[in-house]
Amino acid sequence: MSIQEKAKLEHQLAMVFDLNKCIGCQTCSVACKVLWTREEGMEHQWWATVNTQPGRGTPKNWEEMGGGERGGVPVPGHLPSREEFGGGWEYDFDRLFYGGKGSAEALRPTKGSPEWGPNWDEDQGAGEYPNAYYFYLPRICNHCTNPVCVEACPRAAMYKRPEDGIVLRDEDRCRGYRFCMEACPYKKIYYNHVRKIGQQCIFCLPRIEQGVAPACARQCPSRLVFVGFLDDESGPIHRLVNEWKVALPLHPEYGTSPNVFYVPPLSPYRLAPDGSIDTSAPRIPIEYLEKLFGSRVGAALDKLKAEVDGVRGGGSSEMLDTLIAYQWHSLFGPFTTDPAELARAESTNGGK
Amino acid sequence: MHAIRLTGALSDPGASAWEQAPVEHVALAAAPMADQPSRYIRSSWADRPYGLVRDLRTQAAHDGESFYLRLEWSSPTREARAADENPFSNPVEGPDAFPDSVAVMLPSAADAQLDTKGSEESPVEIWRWAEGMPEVIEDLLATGLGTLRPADGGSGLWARSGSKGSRWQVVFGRPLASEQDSAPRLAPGESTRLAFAVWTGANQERAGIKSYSQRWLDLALEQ
Repeated sequence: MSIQEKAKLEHQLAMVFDLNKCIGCQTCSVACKVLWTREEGMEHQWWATVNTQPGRGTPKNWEEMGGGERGGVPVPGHLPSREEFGGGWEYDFDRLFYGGKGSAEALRPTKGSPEWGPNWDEDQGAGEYPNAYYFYLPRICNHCTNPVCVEACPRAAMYKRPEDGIVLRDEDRCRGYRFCMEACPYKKIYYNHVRKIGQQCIFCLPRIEQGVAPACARQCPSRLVFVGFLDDESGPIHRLVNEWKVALPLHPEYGTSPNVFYVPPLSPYRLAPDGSIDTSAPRIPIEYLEKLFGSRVGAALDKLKAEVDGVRGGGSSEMLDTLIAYQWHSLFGPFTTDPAELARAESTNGGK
Repeated sequence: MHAIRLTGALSDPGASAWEQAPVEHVALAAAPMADQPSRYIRSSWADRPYGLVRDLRTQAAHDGESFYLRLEWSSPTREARAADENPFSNPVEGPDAFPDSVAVMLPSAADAQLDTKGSEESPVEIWRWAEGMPEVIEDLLATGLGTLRPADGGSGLWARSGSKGSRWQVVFGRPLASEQDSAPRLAPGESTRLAFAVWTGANQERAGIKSYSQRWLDLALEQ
């Protein structure tokens, strides 16, 4: 019996990230960080990350760490080290601001010399000038339909909410054994060494329950994140994923059926040695995109290109209008409530 | 095992008073793979050795007021760490690091089962110590596999640890008269039972990935 059957899932929340619109600004990462992971013990936790692809990602080389399932059999996973997560350092603002050296000095970490962090290989990408290429890949917990983290836990501390498919953890049951971290092939579960528990993205559950889109989606200045129920046939997610088939899961071969989907990046043209435009092959090798998004990525890119060509030729495209999102609230299905308009419990910090 | 009546600084694992207490070596074995509760754990540990500690040196005593249990074992973690020990780092804080740990299980009811970790009707109590800064001392209750939770408190459980070379030395102690309802009965002239488990942090042992004593051991408290 699958976990989904066990939980009698009524609906599944999902997201679509349109990678053609992501500018790598990290607003989603910071929105999440500020909201959820500022406590002691959460220094290296970034539930939302954006990495440059091709790249080693966060934690470093996470795609080589195992986990997930192949043919229904769990694949042993690696537990990332603090060095592989990286990050969590503080800067010496006092020395810079009050040290009297003005702009002659640069910020430095207060201790040690970090060798990796969550956005360490930003904008490095791959390829040779003038045909170098890269794109940005935002990642959160995939709230998988087959959540191997839930299965791995010996204490049944994790579960998938039947009403919306959000993967959650009972922090009172969790004893920090971290089999979930090992089992997650996306390495999107973190360890809080102060509270001695695992933690991960909760799809901004308290916001969702108030009709507010998750912070990473709502704060995105590029309007590239769609939020909604996968089974809402009139909603953009269902249409992008199931009808137009231009939004694909990341690493479908990991066997967990993610519920975060990506519109793959279209490539700029290549330049030939003589400087002329070479349209014979895309700048981003299709083999690389297939490695990330599976064998359907070529068809998805063909569909996108056909729609773009149609509009360039004077036609219209419901699909491109959807992706452009002329009205921001078209991104968020039933989750368009303005968080500023919510009635709030009395603040404990003087109303700030 | 016999808990003899002794006087002296029994709360100190290095105290000379412990030289008078009889020693019993308890043989430990790797917890069975078939009992591991998730497919992931069974798959990922199938080819990995675990339950590295196979011998636990035990002693018990009481002084008419408190019960003391002294446990000592050779830690593969400490052996591995001895080469590059850095007194300023906390080796058990990292996301991939686990502490060396030892636990004692006692029946809260006479018929409590070891293999099932007790039941709703017959719970077991578990005392756990784990290395760290600060070290972890837990008084836990279980009513079946996967039910471990903090005991009600008030048992007065404490632990003190020391080390000698690669060996951990841990003393658990508790007043003989406990105010906690579920606390196992420990009374001079009476008997109870004990079981043990050890986790080797350097081998990422935690939860059911451990070595354990396989059966209850009888413990008689001297009058």
